[in-house]
Amino acid sequence: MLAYAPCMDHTPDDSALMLRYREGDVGAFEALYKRHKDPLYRYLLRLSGHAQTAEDVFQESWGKIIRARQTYRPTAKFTTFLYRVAHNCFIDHLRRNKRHAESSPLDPELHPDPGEPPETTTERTLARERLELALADLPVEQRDAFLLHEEGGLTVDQIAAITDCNRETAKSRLRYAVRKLRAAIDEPRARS
Amino acid sequence: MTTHKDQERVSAAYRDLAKESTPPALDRRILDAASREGRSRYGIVRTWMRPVAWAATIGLSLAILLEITVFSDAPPSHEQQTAPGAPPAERARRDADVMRAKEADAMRQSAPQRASAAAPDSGSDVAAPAACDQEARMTAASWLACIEALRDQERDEEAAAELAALRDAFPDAGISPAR
Repeated sequence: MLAYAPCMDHTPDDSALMLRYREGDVGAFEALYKRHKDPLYRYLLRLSGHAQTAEDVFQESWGKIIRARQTYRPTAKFTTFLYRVAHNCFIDHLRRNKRHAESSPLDPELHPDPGEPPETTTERTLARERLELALADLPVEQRDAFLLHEEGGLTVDQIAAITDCNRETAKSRLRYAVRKLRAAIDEPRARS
Repeated sequence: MTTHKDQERVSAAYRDLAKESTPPALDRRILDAASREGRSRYGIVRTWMRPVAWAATIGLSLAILLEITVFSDAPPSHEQQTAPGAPPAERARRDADVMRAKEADAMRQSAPQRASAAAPDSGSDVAAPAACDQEARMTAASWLACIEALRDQERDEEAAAELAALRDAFPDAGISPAR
């Protein structure tokens, strides 16, 4: 089940809202923003691993969407357009700030202190922590593919288009990501 | 190898994990920017474009309507203004004479040799009337105007002589004998 799936049945559709915003209807933009803001924020939050970086790239991405309204043409799905802009903004941010390119430090708010006593956490919480850590440990390309699939609800073809690779590469990245994350979830069972 | 079941398990675990929402301050910044941009420049132009287009269309239509109705009664021409006291029939006759004279002038200009030859000949036949000078006799229209002026001055005999000379010089002009 995809996080984005419930949003796809809304009427009017995203492209219609964007065209209405182009005509000066600010309310249409608010509807469009509310529909996509949380998945896009989570995508950037986990892709960057920094809340501040996620906020900066998130704001930059929506700024570009706002400025692009006059030239916007509904030739492709709006979600693809939105995540392509966000992906490119993140890549630009990485180039400007090399420190993120070298490592992806985890946000302490996202990742609980490992020093916390194990007896106070449930098995479910531990599984979530393991998943979070495994996600952060994924190579950025695999994490990107996984998050685009989960948060954007994008297909392999759309992921390939956004990340500028061929379909097989995108599919392979997604498959490896899922395999590693599944292993992280199953870790205690494997030990036992 | 990953299966669809693996994918679903990982997705469910991820959904359980990922519940963050955007900070309200960030939402406010972006919505403010969208509102500012959406209502600036292009938005204003688009807002006013339609009313201005309607106003221009209505204004143009009114101008055309006024031109057709109110201003269609144009002031009378110079020829129509001559002899305002004359009866309509006489005025029409004079107008016809003027038109014929103009036509004759045009024909004369197209054949200048014939016209220039006709004038001296007519001058030799008629007993050199001094009422209209040579310049007035150059064209039938100016000659006729001179004759009208003589009539206005009640120099009817001279006018009649000039008219006879005019008929001789310009037989094509079709000056009616009743004049």
